[in-house]
Amino acid sequence: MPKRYHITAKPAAPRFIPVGRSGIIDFEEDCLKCTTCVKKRCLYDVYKNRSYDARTMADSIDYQCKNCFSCIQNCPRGVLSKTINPEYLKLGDAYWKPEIISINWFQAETGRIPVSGAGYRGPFSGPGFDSMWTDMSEIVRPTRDGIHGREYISTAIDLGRKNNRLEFDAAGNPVLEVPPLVEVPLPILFNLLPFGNLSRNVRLAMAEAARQIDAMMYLAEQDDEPALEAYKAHLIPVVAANGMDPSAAIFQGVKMVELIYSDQAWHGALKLKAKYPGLVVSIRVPMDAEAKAVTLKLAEAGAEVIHLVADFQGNEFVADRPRFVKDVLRDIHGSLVTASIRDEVTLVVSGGIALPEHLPKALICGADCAAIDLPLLIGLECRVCKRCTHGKSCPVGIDQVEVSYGSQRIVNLMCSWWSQLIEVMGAMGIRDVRRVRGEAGRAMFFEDLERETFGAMFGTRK
Amino acid sequence: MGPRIVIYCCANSVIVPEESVEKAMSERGAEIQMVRLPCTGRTDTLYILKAIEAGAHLALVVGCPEGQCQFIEGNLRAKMRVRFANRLLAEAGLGAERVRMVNLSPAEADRFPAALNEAIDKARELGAWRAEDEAAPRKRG
Repeated sequence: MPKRYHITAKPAAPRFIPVGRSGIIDFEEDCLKCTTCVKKRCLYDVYKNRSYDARTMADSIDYQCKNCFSCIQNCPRGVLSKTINPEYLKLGDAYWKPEIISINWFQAETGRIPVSGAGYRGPFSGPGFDSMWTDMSEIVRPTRDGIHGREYISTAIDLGRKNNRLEFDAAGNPVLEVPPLVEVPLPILFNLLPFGNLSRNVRLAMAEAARQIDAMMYLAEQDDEPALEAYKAHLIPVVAANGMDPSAAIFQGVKMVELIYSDQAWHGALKLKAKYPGLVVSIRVPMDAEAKAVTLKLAEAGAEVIHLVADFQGNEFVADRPRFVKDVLRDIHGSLVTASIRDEVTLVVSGGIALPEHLPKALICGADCAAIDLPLLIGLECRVCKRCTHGKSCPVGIDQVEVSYGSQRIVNLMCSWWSQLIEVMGAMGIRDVRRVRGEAGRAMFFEDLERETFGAMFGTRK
Repeated sequence: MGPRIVIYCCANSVIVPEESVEKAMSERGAEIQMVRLPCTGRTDTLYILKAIEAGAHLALVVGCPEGQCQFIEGNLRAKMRVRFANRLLAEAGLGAERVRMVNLSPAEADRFPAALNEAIDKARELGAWRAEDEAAPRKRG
């Protein structure tokens, strides 16, 4: 039996005290100095290990506190009270919410699945990916030896063009040429980062993480450098099709290349395929008003991989009421299915994939694979404050991250995402991630349910 | 290089107008770091001293008007702690005036720029307490 895919996590403590959710208010002047001090009895020793970072002005207690409320309830004098840290509420933006950022921090630190504790109290529906629920009907009992045991769940996918049928000549020999495929053991690619105080250390950390977990990473043409030579097998150079030189050094030794969509893109792809028959060529298509028609046209022409790119908040590039990535994806996937060519082309989606559960949800909506960007940066302690977009310094000095440390944080993050993908698939009763793609029947969509239930009475939602 | 100021601001008190902070930074050359706290009762004396130790010229604590604290007496405790910090700083010979507190209600955003300007003037007058900070302020985020 071949060796199973596995990601090994190793705890990597944050370099800076992360912004925590809790805010403890301590009226210490009232302390009785009694012998039953709740601070000494803290199960997690947060008071003992308390430290204060004068650079970021962060108190370690906010992050370490597990919200058990034992100190609040048991102090005889009631000197402690608890509230939410306003700095925490200010993290990120409307899409990259503080919960998303802190969950990814935890995952990058420990590599474990975050457990929120006493049940989930809602909300049960929301905008974006939160408006869909995956089928969990197969959770009927704990499996005999766990989903990491005998019950093997495959998360591997193939990137490239697939033949729809076999063809034979008169003598019965197969005449079909098998197109090249790139197998990745996880349906995740590392996308180009939308912003960030990026340095070569960040790129090297990402490349090293990609090497360790056998993933692939997109690389902008101008960022190519000799230090990345060792990672060639894990790089997907992203180049403009116009004025491209097929014999350039950037194409040597890579398994896959991505061309930015333009009128010349398909022509460029053919040129590259002619020179490197074993190369998988992907085309990067922005999710705008033309995306559906362009995807259909490229797929019919014989494109191998199409990468649909939404903005970093998961919205399509349309000025008037942009749709969310999942809705666009369902639309495009549906049009490919109707044209009977969905199985031949590989769809990669990126933009707005923020949490591990977004990955199976994106696959259900019709992608074969997702490319993630900001979660990688959050793994390196990014606070999504976007100071770097105004040319200001990074509060956590992302550009100075050490390569080995940064790669371990990304590996931990991916370990957690991988474990959660397996959990979701186990709960859905699907053993192969390739079968998750387009399984919209195994999910419920809030918009559909609302329309079916209330549409007849109240009409469509404005 | 302008004076460095750390503002500890209660999240329930004045909603700090971002543009006034930006303006103070660009026009008056001040280097301002805002720290939002759930209540000024959270301000430990240690927080203030750490800020001064890290090279701030002045620490400004912004709380709710007395008697209007959501935690009943958080701002009164902050007042006592600021006084204590004043005493400690005076004892250390750094100047008691390096820490000050203002009380502003959420409706008094228009009074904030004046309070900030006053703090900047004071900070400029006091200067850095450590000679090397005057020459090259410590790098921070």
